[in-house]
Amino acid sequence: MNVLVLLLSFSLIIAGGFLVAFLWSVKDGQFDDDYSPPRRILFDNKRKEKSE
Amino acid sequence: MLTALSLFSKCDLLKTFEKNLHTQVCYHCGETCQNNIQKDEHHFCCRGCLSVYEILSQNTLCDYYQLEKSPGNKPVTEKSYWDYLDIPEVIAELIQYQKGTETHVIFQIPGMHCMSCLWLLENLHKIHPGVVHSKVNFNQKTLYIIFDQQQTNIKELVKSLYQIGYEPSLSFSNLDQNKKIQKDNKSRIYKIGLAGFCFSNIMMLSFPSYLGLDKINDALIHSYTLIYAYILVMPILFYAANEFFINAWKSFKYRWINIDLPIAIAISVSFGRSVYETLTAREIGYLDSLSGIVFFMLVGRYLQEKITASVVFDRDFKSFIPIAVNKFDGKSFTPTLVSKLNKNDIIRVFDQEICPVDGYLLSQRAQVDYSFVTGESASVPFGKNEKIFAGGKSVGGAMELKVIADMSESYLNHLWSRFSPDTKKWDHKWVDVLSQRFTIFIFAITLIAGIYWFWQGNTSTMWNVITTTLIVICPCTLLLASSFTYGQLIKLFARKGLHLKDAQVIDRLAQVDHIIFDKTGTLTETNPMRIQYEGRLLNENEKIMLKSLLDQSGHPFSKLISRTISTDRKMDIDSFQEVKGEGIEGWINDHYIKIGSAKFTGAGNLYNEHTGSKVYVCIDRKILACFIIEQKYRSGIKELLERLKSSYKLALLSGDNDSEKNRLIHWFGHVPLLFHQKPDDKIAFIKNLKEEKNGKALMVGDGLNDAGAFKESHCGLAIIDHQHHFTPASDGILEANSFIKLDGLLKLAKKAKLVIFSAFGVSGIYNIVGLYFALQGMLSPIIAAIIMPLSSLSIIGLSYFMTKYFVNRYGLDDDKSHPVI
Repeated sequence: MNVLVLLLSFSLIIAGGFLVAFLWSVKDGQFDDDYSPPRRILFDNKRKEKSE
Repeated sequence: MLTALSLFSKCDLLKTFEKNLHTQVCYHCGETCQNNIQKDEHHFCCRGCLSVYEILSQNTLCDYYQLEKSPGNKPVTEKSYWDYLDIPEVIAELIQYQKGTETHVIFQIPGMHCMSCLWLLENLHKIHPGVVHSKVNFNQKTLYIIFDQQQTNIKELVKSLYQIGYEPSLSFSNLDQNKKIQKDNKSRIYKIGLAGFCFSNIMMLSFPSYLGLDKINDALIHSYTLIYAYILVMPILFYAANEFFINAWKSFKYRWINIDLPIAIAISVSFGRSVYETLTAREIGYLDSLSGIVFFMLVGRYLQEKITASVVFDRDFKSFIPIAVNKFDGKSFTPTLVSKLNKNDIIRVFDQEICPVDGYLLSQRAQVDYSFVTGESASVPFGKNEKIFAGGKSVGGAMELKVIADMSESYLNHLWSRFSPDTKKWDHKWVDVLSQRFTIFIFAITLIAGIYWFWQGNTSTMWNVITTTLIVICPCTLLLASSFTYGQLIKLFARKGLHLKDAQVIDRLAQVDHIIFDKTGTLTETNPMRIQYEGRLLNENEKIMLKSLLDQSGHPFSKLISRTISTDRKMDIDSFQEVKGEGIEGWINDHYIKIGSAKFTGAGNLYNEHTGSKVYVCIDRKILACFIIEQKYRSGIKELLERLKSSYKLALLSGDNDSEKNRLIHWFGHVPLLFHQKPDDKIAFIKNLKEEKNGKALMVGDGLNDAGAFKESHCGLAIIDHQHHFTPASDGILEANSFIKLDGLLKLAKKAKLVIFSAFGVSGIYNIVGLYFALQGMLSPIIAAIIMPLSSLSIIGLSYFMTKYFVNRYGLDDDKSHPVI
């Protein structure tokens, strides 16, 4: 039964990792714009003779 | 076989038939084309749209048109005053970051509304060399640009954006807020994330006890779970829930019981009990319910905020006025920030520029258009030393002024702040009052129940009862019901073209019994009036004479007619006179020309069968022709008025003359139709209505002149055609296309209360049932905590479906949603 202590700790740490990832991505602004990213991937980038 | 064939050809025939009847739609912006402007087999409605198309096609950016249909915005009238973007201070406020050859800037571009916009704006570098990178944040409608300041500058960028139809919105409020876009909202998300995390983990620990399997014999594990739970609950208590405690504290300070108070108490009691249980019986107590309460409450609040934030309405009147003006510094005129102007400064206001402050005219003559202030398109002539008020647009040339007062004292402000916001103060939203009473009721019941059980000698049950009672009867469901319904309605209204300032406006709309309309710009379209021509064709000479004469006059009819005469040559005038209200006359080249009303020109009843203002052309005492000018009424107005007549008392207050009176009587019926109304007259009328008949008036108008009337009325709606015509004092903006749906919108507003009350009913049932069990001590806190979100969900569901039903019923859902401005 002592393994429960280990299990609980680890699951907390891992879940905590996810929480940190979530908070970090919110802070970084990933969720600020939910309209553009799905559409951005659909754009074509035409190759032109003109160099960029 | 034959019938099939004949059917097929009939279809074909119909199609070609339709194609001929079908009016062309602009390839760029989607509006109907009245002129025959074409290029590359596409039709355009105006030169502006055509020029955007040309810019894009030259840069092989025609994907713009492939991604969405008619994605463009119609470029508005010519602007030439970008010079203020050279001022270092202005630039400094726009620039986010600058290093080496990189300058970062953020522009607010309200005109973006679709995928094409996104695509074009992120491909800006193809049209505008010097742009390194551009990124759109669509939700905030901003564009983040990184550019090389050695190749281009902000002024050029803004010009470019304007030329493709995506003019950035630059105004005082934007300059101030540019830096702090959406920084505050995130703390709530952090709290929710954290609360959710802690809640679910604590619940996981408590799970065995729900299933009755909580006999843990091992002391180590038992202690461990307790420590675990308490560690997890700390962030909830001290971070996630702190807004409840802070608001509850404020409630004590200001002696106004708000909804956060019982929640804060419930949380504290739960925690206290849990600690007690832990210390005495080594149980986990009620930490799960505690964290659950906090989590669900926060989610509810967040939803509510998000809903209200989706209609941004914080524009103030400063958005109108250009932010810089040319000031004379002794040697020349240089652009200066308006806020830095002092009394007695000399400024020059160019043609079509809006004068930002009150001033004395220094030029010999000036023509000023006060359409923002009076709603009238007729410009007013001024002579030297006359006072010109802020908000006036200089037309027909530039003018120089001596500044009388700085921004805070000008007339616009006066008109706007004359009736201070207090008179329109929300006299305690009925929901607030209700929830306050409810809260008191909760405390009363809890107290009684507590005393009862104490008296019974059953202390554990007592604590149980107290906690669960406080949690289970949550007026937060009241709040949720009202906020969700209002939020939904605001969003719905916005999609149907009615943008409201806040939820309270919905209630105000529901309460009105009178509707007062303005005429110019409200019932009539703001853009060009329609001109018809009757009579014989004029030869070149006559055209030149007419136009030369017309160009002397500042009357809007003169300008309008002059525009329709196509000739570039001019003649010198021998004499000119304008008779106000009648017409103009003068001698050119030995010809005597009179242009004006029937009475003025002696035309009698000629062309009388036409409605509208008739301007007759009379050369050498012979009536040659007539220009029939009609202010075009918006389509559907007549029917709208028909529908409104039965439920509301209508009235018309117009600043214009009464030439349209007969037609309007026909439409309105026998109700007050008043003309030549100045802003003060309108205010007086509404005031009278309030005092004499206790009437609640909805003022539907346009232009800043209605600002005072809006404030005086119970509710004020401004009609707009596009972004630029905007009234800050209104309670809501109604898009011109949605104007004819006004009756349906009002009906929907009236139903708001019904929906909320039904939601309350449901919430009431939950409360009663929950209370029944709680008072008997039969309810466990976790069940109590679950009942709360359950009731919230059912309320949300009910509100959602009921509003959908009413939208359907009032015929508001036929067309697809507009892109929100």
